[in-house]
Amino acid sequence: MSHELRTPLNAITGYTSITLEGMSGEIDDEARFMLQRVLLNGEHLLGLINQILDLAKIESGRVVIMPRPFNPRELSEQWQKQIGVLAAKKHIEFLTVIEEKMPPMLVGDPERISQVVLNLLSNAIKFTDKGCVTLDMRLQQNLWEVRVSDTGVGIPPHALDLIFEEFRQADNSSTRQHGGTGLGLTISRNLSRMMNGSLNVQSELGKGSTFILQLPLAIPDTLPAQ
Amino acid sequence: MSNPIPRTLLTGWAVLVVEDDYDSKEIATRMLKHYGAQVYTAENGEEALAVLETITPRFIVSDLSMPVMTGWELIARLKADARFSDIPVIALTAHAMIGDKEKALAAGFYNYLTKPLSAGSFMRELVALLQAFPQFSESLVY
Repeated sequence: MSHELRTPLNAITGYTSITLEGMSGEIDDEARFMLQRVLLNGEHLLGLINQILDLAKIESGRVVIMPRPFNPRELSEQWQKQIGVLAAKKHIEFLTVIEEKMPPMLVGDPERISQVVLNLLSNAIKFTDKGCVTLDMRLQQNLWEVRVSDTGVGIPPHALDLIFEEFRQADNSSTRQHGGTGLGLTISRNLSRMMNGSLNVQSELGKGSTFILQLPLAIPDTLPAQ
Repeated sequence: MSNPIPRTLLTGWAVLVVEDDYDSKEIATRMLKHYGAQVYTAENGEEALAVLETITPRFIVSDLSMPVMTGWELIARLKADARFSDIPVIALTAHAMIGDKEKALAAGFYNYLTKPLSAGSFMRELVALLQAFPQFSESLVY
């Protein structure tokens, strides 16, 4: 199904982008504005389709978790690179804190872990207008824990469960104001559970939110040769 | 931001685009032509092999899943033929196919780009990949 949904949309955004780039000649400001809206909405729809397909894949049991040894510090450097760009655009600070005793290697599925953490980080940036976003990585008894904290708008108490439901954000006007599809947290919590872990949130309205991902990751018995 | 890509960057370059989807083929063709390339197209691997009997492109951009002959089979044929084995072939991979990227490199593709093709990023990414190809390192400086 994915191919059938994406192909026509890729054609729409593709032709729009080459026209915007001036490849068919100069375009005036009004046409430029409208084509930019076509592109923006097309990209939004593509994001939505990708997430709906991701969720369908998870719910039908077609997503396989593939644990293998990975270096948590290297993974966090990739996140820092990807999210740092978004943070800089909004003039928000993005900090990563990793406790010293974090082992050099852990066993888990780095792609799926990244999918969850990158979703939490991009949400944090999206809902924060000033201040900072912090990623805190530590071991909590037998659990590997990542906390993503922001100094953003926060979530009202009644919405703390609701935000994990499909197509829901804390209030209905929220997707219009903040963008996003309303599926990211549903996917993230599903993936966390598939990895035998959990994803929870603490928040204070107006002060910020902290999302806590806990996963039972093993430490490999033997470390690879240096 | 980096310099804009000059309109003449690919002037005099023959390029082969192998893609079964009409629109993806048109979009890729228009972008490459915009920068001066002489673009040849084929709708599957078999057609690509026929085109290669008459022209020798500087590089090839190829989709992976196509009817008649896939991009996978095409790359195997090209790598096995001394006339073509040195032509860099860039794979076009679909968004969700995470495993395809590693598979593409292992199969002999020079590199890959992920669809959808956007005018803003396609040429910039393509040129960056090709600049790293030893034979092109000087001719693609701008």
